[in-house]
Amino acid sequence: MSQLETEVLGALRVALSDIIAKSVYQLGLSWSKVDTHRMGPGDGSRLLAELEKGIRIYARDPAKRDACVRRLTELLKDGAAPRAEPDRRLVVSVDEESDIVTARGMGRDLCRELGFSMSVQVKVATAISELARNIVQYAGRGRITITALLNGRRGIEITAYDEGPGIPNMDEILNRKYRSTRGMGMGLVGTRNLMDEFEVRTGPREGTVIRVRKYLS
Amino acid sequence: MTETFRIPIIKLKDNLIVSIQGSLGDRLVIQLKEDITSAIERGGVRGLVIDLSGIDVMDSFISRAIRDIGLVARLMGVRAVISGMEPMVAMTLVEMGMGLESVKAALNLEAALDMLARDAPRPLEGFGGKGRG
Ligand SMILES: Nc1ncnc2c1ncn2[C@@H]1O[C@H](COP(=O)(O)OP(=O)(O)OP(=O)(O)O)[C@@H](O)[C@H]1O
Ligand SMILES: [Mg+2]
Repeated sequence: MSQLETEVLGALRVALSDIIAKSVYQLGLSWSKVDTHRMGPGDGSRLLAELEKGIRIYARDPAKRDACVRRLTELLKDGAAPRAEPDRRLVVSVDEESDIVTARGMGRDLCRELGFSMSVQVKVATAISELARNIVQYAGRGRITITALLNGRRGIEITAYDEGPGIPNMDEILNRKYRSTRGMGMGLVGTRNLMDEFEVRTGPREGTVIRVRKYLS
Repeated sequence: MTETFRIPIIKLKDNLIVSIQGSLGDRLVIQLKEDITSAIERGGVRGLVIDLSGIDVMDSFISRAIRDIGLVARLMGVRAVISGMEPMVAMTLVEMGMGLESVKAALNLEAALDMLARDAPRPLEGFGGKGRG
């Protein structure tokens, strides 16, 4: 980490603990879940507006307060402002039924760790379950990658790969004209309904790649 | 572990109670269908509760399995009720467009048992029910 980033993080930590300490004192709230040591460089600019509000509310000395806001703004706007945080990616190989549970558990944990809402957690886990089950049922083996999109629009991307027989009647399936013999025939349509983006590449020689995304906002 | 595990079926008076936890695979679903139908066949069963409070992710495969079990039970003269579905799971199913309309639902196990007791038809002669009127 650069000198500047260290300094920014230091300033953020001090400002944040100060605000939190005062909030706890004044509002009697439990902030035990806030872990300032897990903040990354990119969090600064996102927190700036909130920090400013907090500092304005809780800092009693106006001169110090303004200096603090100015210093934070400078530090965050220059060097360390939205610096790319690497996207986090998990890969799970899917060969048998038990891998379905593993894959969706990992997706859920990742969402939880990133602070995504319960509803996003369940939707992501469900989509992973559908895609992984299709791999096991129709292609035999394959893999799923789960990526946390942390730059730009935040969200989760799931990609399911296999080298199975491909899906020749994709249009029919997505237009709900298809009758499944093994399930409700709702896996792919349901997944598309749950997610914000849904893309398929499939063919008899290349297998199937399905990529879906769920954004936070 | 999954080789020998099967989902336990509890008989309580004239109801069967099944609690589904975690994940179901092909094998467990087939086994469960068999176990339920043979328990019904043995007689004395008028209601079936499938409790889903232990399920945190319900995909379309599991939905279909549950719907099928409910339909099979119904064809065998047993009323089926699902209970305890987590709110997030319910919302996700609706958003996916998955229909479980064919199965009755209750908030929790207790409500499901109340429901079965309340709408119980008059017991048939020799059907194992304790006569009630
Ligand atoms: N990865 C895959 N490779 C080959 N064929 C697939 C794959 N995924 C899906 N399919 C085909 O597409 C059909 C529709 O899949 P979908 O998941 O929508 O429904 P289903 O698996 O039949 O039932 P459900 O998911 O509701 O249990 C499947 O029946 C299967 O024929
Ligand atoms: Mg499917």
